[in-house]
Amino acid sequence: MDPRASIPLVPLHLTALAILSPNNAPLYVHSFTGPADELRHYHLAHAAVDVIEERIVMSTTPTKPADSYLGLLFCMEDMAFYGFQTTTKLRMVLSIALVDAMIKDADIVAVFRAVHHLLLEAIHNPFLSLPPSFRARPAHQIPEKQAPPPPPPSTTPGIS
Amino acid sequence: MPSPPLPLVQSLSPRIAVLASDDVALSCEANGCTGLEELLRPWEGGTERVSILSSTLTPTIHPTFPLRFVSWSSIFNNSAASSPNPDLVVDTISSLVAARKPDDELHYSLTRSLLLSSRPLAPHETFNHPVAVVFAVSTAEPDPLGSLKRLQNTMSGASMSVPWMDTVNLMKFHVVIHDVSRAGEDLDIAHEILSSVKKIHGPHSTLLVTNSQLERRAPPASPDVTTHSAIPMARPFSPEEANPSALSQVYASALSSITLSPMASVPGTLNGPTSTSEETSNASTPATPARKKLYAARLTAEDTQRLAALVRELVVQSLVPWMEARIREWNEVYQSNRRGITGRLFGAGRKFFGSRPATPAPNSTATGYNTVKGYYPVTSVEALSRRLADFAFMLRDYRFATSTYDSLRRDFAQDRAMRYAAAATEMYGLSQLLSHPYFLPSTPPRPPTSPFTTLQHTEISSWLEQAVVAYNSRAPASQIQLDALRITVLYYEAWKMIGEWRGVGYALVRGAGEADEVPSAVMIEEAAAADVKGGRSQRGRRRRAFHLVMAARRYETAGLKTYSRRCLDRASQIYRSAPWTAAQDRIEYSLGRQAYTLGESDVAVEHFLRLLRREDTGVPGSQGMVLEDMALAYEATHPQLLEGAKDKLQLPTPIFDVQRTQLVAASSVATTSGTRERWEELETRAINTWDRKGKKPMSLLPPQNGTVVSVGENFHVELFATNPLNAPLVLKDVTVIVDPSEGVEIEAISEVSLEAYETRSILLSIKADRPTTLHLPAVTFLFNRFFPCRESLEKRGKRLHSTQAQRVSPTYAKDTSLGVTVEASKPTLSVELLGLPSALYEGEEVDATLRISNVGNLSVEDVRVLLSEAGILRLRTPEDTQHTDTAPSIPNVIAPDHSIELHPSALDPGDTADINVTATGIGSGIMEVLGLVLFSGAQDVDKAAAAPLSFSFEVLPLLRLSAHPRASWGAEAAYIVPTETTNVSASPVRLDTVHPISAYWKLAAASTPSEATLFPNQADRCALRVDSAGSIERSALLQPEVVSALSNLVQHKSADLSAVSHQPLNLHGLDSCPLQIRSSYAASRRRYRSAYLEGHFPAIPADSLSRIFPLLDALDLDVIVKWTIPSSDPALVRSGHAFLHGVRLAPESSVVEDLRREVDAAIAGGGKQTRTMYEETGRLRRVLMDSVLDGVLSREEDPVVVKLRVDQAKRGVVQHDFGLGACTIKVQFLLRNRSPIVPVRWVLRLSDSPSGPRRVDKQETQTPTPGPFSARFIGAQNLSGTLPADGTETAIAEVWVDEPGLVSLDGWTLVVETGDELQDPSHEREHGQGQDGKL
Repeated sequence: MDPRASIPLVPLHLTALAILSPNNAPLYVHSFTGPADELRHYHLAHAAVDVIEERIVMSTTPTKPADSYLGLLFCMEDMAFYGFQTTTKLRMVLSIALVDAMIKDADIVAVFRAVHHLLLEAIHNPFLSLPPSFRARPAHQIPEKQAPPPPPPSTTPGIS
Repeated sequence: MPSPPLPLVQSLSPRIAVLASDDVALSCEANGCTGLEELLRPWEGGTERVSILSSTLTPTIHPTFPLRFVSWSSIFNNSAASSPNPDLVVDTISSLVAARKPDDELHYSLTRSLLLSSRPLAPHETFNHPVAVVFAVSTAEPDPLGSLKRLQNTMSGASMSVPWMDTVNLMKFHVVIHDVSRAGEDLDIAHEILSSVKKIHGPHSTLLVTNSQLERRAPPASPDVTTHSAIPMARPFSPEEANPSALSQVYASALSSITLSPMASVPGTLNGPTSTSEETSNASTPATPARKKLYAARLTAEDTQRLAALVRELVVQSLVPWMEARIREWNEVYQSNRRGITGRLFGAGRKFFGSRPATPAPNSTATGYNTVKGYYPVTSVEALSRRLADFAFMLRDYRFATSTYDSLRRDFAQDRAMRYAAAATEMYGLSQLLSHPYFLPSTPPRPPTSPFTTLQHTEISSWLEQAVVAYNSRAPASQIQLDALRITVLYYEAWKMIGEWRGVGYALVRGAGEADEVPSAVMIEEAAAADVKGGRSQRGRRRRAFHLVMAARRYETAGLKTYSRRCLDRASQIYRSAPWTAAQDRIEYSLGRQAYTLGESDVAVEHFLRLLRREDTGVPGSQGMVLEDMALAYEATHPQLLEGAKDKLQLPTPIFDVQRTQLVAASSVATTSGTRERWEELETRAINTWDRKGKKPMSLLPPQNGTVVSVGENFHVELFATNPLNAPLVLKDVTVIVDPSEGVEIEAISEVSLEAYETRSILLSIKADRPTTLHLPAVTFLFNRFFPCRESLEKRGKRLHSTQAQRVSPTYAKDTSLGVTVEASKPTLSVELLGLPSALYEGEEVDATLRISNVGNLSVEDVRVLLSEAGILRLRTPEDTQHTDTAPSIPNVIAPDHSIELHPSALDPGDTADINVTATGIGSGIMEVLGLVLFSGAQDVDKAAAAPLSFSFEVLPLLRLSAHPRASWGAEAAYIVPTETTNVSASPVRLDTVHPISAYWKLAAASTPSEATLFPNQADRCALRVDSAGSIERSALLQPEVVSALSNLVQHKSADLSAVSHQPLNLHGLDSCPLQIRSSYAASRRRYRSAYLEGHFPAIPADSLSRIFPLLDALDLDVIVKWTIPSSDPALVRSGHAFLHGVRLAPESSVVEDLRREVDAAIAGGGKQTRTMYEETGRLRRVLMDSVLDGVLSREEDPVVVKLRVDQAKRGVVQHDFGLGACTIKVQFLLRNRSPIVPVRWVLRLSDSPSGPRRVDKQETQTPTPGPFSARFIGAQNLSGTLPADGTETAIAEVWVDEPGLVSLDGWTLVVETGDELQDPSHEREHGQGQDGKL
């Protein structure tokens, strides 16, 4: 009997999705858990690039190109990161909250395929005009929140 | 000889409690040590080559065997020292790390040592429980044995304070210390005491002779008390090298070393109240370092050797054998009590068949887990097994330890003793890790070659993870979990040693937990370092960046800004090369802020500057904040610092576009790129038709890049500034640097504000007052009003790659940097056209003024203008100056005429002359007219120059003319030309006069002025009667010049086309027109003629066409219509002329017939066929031949018209009395040759000719009806003659009519032949004309 059969199936809880260009520039980073997490996910997506490249190099042989689904990249901070590479070498990183349940690869692939499909539909629109990189928003809003502006020099004349 | 890493072994080494009498303490204090443990500390790790028997009874020699000497009281009486508060440890680490500079790279080793040494005395593990007790008594005491007894009692008395610690199963070691300085050099007493101790307490006893330095050595002038971290493992001194300074240093290093005694190195924080002497000695001077005193004042080299020997004796002879024995003993107990099926089987076997072990079985009172208090009693099997495993671990029997930990782990988990389970799990994994063959002492000291398999590694990592998770789950996430950190450090040390880097970073981060404390930050930074190790280089640098940022955040929260900055700095170096700008911006911003708060404003400015680059993804306006912060930081920066950092402070995105920057001289403002070719064409024309005084210059237009200006002339630098930011930006004091700068006036723009991403061109005017060569290397400005920037304007040529040589040696294209040559003054004019409306009707004439101002500083003369569209401008002359004596002619060349003289006399500097001109609307649509105003200096005619003039207007259509000429037999005119004029404009037009103009034709009868007013879409017709003027030779009509030029062209004879000269032609009708109409007529004619020729001779290039063909064709008839648009306001009356060109009246005849014959003869003669290499060449040639030989010049039309006339007949009726006989009627055949060129020979055949099929048909069809009779000509049936060009002749024939009736004057045939007689008949035409006459 498969021991895993006893593990309950729970719906996947996506935490972030990142789409990266073939040269690993961020095209789109979205956090499903709120804007506060965006910078973290941004950094994590960046860190995932290492694993993706490693994985592609490892799984590629001259006769057999890399599979589009790169599998579980790594687990970090209660999130699991999965990778996917389209035929045009667009990379996608999906992070899923770790739960005490089976996460089936087929489910992840289905999510990736759906995202890929949406992406294809979007870029098939001839009137779509995006900047060379899509909006990768998060980091600009955060400095304002986190770092208070320095005191005006009039009140603290000698900054030592 | 590798062995497990020293920090690991050191921190998990056997702990020896030292219980000494007061006299011993006195002896030690003489050496600056608080107790015997400190006196021994330098030597505790110095035991080498220790042979240990493993559980499989294999002796193994281990290179080192460190011990940990601690005072008895620190274990039993002082709970603060034995198990320090985790928060205190964290704070200590923070303060220690904060005290060091990041560059010392001590943060990790500090953290590691403090973490490992702060391992608390805990029930769930026994590493910190004492393994042995050293009882020390001094021979100086009066009753050494008695004090030894007291010490023993002390120990047994304290044993009840910690119920979970085994205070019974300890090895006891007795030391008799002979203090030579106090008890004398006589060792007999000492040996006596020792032997009695041995008698009482067994063989684990020894004698230590110390403090042999009797005479007080003079303390060295400057005792070297510097802590020397490089010598943690001191060796005993040999006598010759012993000196007080070195001895002292060894002790100072050991006692303050963070690896050997880290807790002691923290002054006064963790050491318990027992270290009273130290505290008292330091309390008065807290500022001085704690250990700044002379150590080992009474030790000699022999003493150090004895101390080391004591430690070795303790290890080799007592401790290790004792521990080995305990392992064997406890193993029995452990095996017999193992749970599970194996244990039961064994246990049962033993129970029934075996002998009882020597150790009494755990008593029944205290077994199992005490869930209330949370510990196992000392006597329980689990506690014993744990001690067994720890002993095995200390003796480095890792395999045995592994299996024991494994079973313990399960048992603890079963008992829900989670802390015990976690501790066992971590040790299980660690033992597995240390079982790696690399850690065997027999392994040669090489880098590890066989790492763990992935499976093994994953397993080990998972044990670590399990333990960490277990620890972390028991404490709130925000609080640091030192146990987790500690075990992670141990694993990390081991991994580092065997070079295993897979997943190490993640393990470290996981161990660090979520707490924002310095130790976690240190661990994460360590993780960042681990990320890039192993495997290919640079592989994990993105992970590294992430971990660095994480560490930086924690450092910042913990208040260690310098460390935080260092991490961010390293991270930003990674991000700088990656396109992840959002992360990079955040890092730079944080760095900038931190630098600013630390007062390093110059660094802050540098960081903020990096943020000010172009990016399209940011939130609009977000960079404005950065700008403000940068301004603040900049103002706070010392100017000298700025000066020093000037090279580093560069804008990341240049503001000014170097490639687009250009120089604009005042005289060439209008030359945009599109019209440049037209200007050059005009310039070429001006130079080709140079008709001025002075020598012809090489060029007239100012150079395109404006690189030559004259002294005192303003020229402009056009800069293109782009705001790269998404926030508004202000540039202040924008100016360019000019080299050399003497005598140059440079304009500075005080402020330019740019909206987000706006691009704006900035014109800076420059004026030089002496001839020189100026170079413009850079532009300077104040970025956002405060930051002085300098951007280079140098345009370096690109590296060339096209040829091999260029690729081999670096070759660059020509530099196109901005440079200006300022020349001595030359005449300069500025010209503008005033008063020209924006729209003109076709042919309309308006008055305008050409204003010429001398803006230079030399007077000029002989000002002329050359226009791209000739005839559009002409000088306005009063109407009454019409000269009647001028020949009614215009230059008979298509090429545009020469320049118009505007101002022949001198024009002084600053003077302005207004020239009245008339502009004519020629062409259609929007006309852009360029003019080149040529002039020369009044003093020096060789100084010719040109000023550009350009204007444009729209030409609207007004009248449409058409003419359909008819031949006329009338006497007064040969042709009637009905001319139809249609108004296609929206305003009523009055037609004043209609004139024909032609060289050959003239107006036969003066036409009455029509004076018709045409409303929109109305048409007016008037018939012009035109006759040949006869003033032109027939040979001229054949256009011999054209034909010969064409012949040359067709027959590949190279001929100078410019040599073709056309005869001037007098135009009839032109004299009756105003003189000023001529130029516009010529211009209009020129446009028509060019279009006509280009349409008919597509294979001949346009410039050749204009040379081959004349402007005027003698046989063309042009019509001029003068029109007026009336208005009540005289100022609004508009007038002009409309032209109709090229009405052909006479029948066409070929002028190229001879040429065709020549060519045909050449082809028929099989002459040399011109071979062409390409098909296209042949095709072009065929087009040329066709257009010349079969084109418009070869058109042939029948020139002969015939008219029959019977003089007697009135209205076609001839009355005759047939009674008188048959009637004879004279029929006149009037023949007229309409062609002005060719003569015609004719033959009139009157007889029936069966050959005419038309005639036969007619006969047949008309036979049944009583149709008209055929005329029967009598007399000579064939008449013939010759008609000269434009000649008329009458042939008379007689018709015999014998009965009344309708007689058809049919049946004759006129055969004509054109061409000159000398030649072969070129054409024969048959005139089968019939005319009916009624008789």
